[in-house]
Amino acid sequence: MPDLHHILFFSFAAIILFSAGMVAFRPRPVESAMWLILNFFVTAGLYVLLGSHFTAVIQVLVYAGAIMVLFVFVILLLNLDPRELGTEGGASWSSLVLFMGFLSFVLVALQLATPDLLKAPAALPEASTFGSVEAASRELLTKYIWGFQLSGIILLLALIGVGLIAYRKAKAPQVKGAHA
Amino acid sequence: MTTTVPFAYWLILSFGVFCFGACGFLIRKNALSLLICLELMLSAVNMAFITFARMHMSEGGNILYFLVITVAACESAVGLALMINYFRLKQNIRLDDARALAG
Amino acid sequence: MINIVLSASVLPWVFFFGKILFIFTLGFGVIAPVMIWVERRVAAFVQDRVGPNRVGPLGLLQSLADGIKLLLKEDLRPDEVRPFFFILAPALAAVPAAMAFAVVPFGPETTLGGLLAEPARLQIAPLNVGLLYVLAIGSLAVYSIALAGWASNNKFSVMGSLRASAQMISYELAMGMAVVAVILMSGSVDLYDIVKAQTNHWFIFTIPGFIAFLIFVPAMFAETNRTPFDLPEAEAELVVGFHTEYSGMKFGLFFLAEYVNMTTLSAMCVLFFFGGWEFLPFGLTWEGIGYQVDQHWFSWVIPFAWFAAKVAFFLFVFVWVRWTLPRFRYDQLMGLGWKTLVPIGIANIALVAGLITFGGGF
Repeated sequence: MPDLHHILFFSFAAIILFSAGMVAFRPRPVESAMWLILNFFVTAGLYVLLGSHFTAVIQVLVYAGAIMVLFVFVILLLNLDPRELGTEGGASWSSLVLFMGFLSFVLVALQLATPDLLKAPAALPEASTFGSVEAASRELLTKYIWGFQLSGIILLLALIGVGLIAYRKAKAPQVKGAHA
Repeated sequence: MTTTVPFAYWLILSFGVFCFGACGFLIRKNALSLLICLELMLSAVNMAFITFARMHMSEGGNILYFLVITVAACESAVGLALMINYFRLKQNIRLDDARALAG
Repeated sequence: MINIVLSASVLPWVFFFGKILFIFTLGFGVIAPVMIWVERRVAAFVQDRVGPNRVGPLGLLQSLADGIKLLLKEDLRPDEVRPFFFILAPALAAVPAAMAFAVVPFGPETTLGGLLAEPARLQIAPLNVGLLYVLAIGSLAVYSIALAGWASNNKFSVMGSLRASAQMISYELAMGMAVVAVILMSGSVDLYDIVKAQTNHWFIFTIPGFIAFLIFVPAMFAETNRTPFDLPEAEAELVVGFHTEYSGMKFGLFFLAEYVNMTTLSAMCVLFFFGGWEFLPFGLTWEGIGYQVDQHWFSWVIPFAWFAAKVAFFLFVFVWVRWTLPRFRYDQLMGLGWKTLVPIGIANIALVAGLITFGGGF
């Protein structure tokens, strides 16, 4: 019987897989970036289905709203000529298929060996705080405080690093025609 | 709201997205698309983390997701900065041409 | 028929859909036309002229005429634009504006005078991470501007869109700092709880709340690209910037999205600092003066109208400031955001945290 959760999960999963395929196989980076934004957005919806509301909002706020903005900016600023993008080639298709096939085999074997995974998950108790802001922030600031502080330091290092690597004083402007 | 879909499906979905990301990563010749596929792989792994957090009812998975996102942000920022520099040097971002350190 | 509607199983659904219909009609059907008229009349009075007064009484049907004009205008699509992103960008502007509007609470929890079994909120989506959701949807609005400028394939548009996007992401940070102070003071990210925490004193009358308000207001103006921060769409300097190539209903969508964003941010300002729908500060709530917000099925209308009046005042402030202050130069704008507002915001957060931990109150 069509359960609302099943319907939602399978429709979200279909969109996620389709957009992942588009990200991987579209030639132009702009299209990949747009499909990736859609992927992140629908993944956030999937996280809500799991009950992690905080995670879902952080996914949209940080991943789709900040990291992908960075990507889109760089793609738009570089203004690449499609001729420069190069044709795809790289690793051969047969080796890719073999590799993925082997990994899938391992995964399926693991799933079948753990029958717990194939049962429907237990319902969350009514007053559960799993996935809420309070629970996540309490854990983050008590049990994982080292990770929290180190992530702050790593962000600072990345900020300084990017400034050192990419900053150039503005030279005389070169007018370059916008490419397609 | 709690899900009734078995966890195996979530893990298979996460693996599927990872597969697409890895395939895209291996066949791309274009540094920007490479970084984008890398983000896709990281997102797939994040999905697995959240699934396991829910499976074991532990907040540690959510916290680890948070830290992975932080590191992903830093790494994509630095990767893009390096790529911008490479573009300034070579006026294109085809990775096949980056052979200066090859033997 | 009335008995079916009022039955215990049907009424919550009727209420739910009625809420959605009401709030979206209000947001998209009432606010946008009224704001267009208000903008033009207030601009006229500030500039010592009369403004539109021909179409309908006091010029009130001017918005209708403008809407019809936009719908009937030729929908130009210049040859040089990138077609998919050109059409996507206005949609990407309007949809996040609507989504952010969905979590704003318009009034107190009500059981419609006892008709509903359990109290329902006057919010379309009573999320318990409502505030973070609004910030998240606000960061999606950057894409519409970046794509609009790039898709127009036009140097002025690209420059305008890059400036606008950089401005928006910088001031998102300042807004986040202001909002964190509010979260610390109210102890929750649920918008309804933030209002409930202001029952006895509105946050603007506390020291850290006042500083947060001073940070939030410029951030509010910068997020919606309104003067004094509208250099990206400056008419005299950048030929309208990122929406140069847009005409007809696509431009109408950008316009609509801007007004809905203004309304959402004004509502946020009222919710965070001015007590939402509470009557007066210092304990004079509706309950305090003896007005029961849940007595009859229509008793929620008065708090809602009061909230709407406060939001309308802030919308008027938006228009008033637009026609009063000159525009910031771009480097002044970015300098203000990064070098002034963010450090003050961080200091404010430290102040609030210190007051809560060691001071026992604020």
